[in-house]
Amino acid sequence: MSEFWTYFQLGYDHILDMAGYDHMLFLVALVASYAYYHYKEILILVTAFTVGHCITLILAGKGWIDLDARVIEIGIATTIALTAGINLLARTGSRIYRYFITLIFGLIHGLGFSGFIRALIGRDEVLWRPLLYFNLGVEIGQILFVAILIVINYMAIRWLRVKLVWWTHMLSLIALVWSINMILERV
Amino acid sequence: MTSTYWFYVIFLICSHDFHVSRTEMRYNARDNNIETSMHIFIDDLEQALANYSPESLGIGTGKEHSSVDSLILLYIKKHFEVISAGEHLMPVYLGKEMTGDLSAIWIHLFYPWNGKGDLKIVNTLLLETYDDQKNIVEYSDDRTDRSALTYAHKTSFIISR
Repeated sequence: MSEFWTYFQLGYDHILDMAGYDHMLFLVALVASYAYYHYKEILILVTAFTVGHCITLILAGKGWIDLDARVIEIGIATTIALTAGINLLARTGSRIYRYFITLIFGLIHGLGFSGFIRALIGRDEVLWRPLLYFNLGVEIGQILFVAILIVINYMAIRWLRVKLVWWTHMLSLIALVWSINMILERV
Repeated sequence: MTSTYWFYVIFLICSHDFHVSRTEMRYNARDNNIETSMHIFIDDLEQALANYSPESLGIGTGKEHSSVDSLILLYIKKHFEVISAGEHLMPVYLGKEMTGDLSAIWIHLFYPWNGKGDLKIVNTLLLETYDDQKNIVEYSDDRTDRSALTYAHKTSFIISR
């Protein structure tokens, strides 16, 4: 197996075996207020999130940002709580501000991954390659996860006749309660 | 609604930490040995070695137990096998060092080897401790660069040279 597939599989498995559950819980909260027919907006959101966490993953992976792991974990849990809170409180309408918020939140999530990968690599001269491959695996796993969420969303709205607002509130409440619990555990 | 409920039940049950080790191996043709360094998180190793010692080991602390190095070597012999032509290569332990952030250690050792034929690596490090353990192995020599991942359902691989 090449270096590429080794680190790609590591990133991919990290998502699919749910080890990165806080990252995924954020995605649940992020797409909770969108129906399957909002696929273009979902695509922009996921892209904004990806751009955000790629930036900090690389910066922190290179050692240019160094924050305490506990602070990062609390920050990640806070992004989930805030995203769920926005879902519960915000009215529908312009969602452009969400793209910007998502980009900022993506920056925080990237710090969470980079702490792990930097500890694992420990050799600056080759750091970018495993980082890139690992991140690519994460992205593919993430896209797959969002696709599954959209399918569930489709089934709930089309087959079970669940209203989007109920669906949004149910997922957001779960994410909110869970994330508050994560914050309390980490403080 | 039922499917959503079960989806979240599974999600909650599956939540856990990320457990990974990494081993670098480089064949040194001049000295006829495979220089090996293993990066293992200290809390994971403490957990694994708890089966071998009833006492707290305090790895990397001022109160480190005197038997830590011998326990590490014992553990590696059992969980990291390097096989050439059907023979198990015996590791020679060099020592360990803490990483900069004090969360992990590098374990340094070498395996005497004549450099002939293929190698089989059986890596079961920490698999008995964590179901989700993943172990990265990177091997290199003058002709070969090889990386592999071992985990619960795939514990070995061959390095063809």
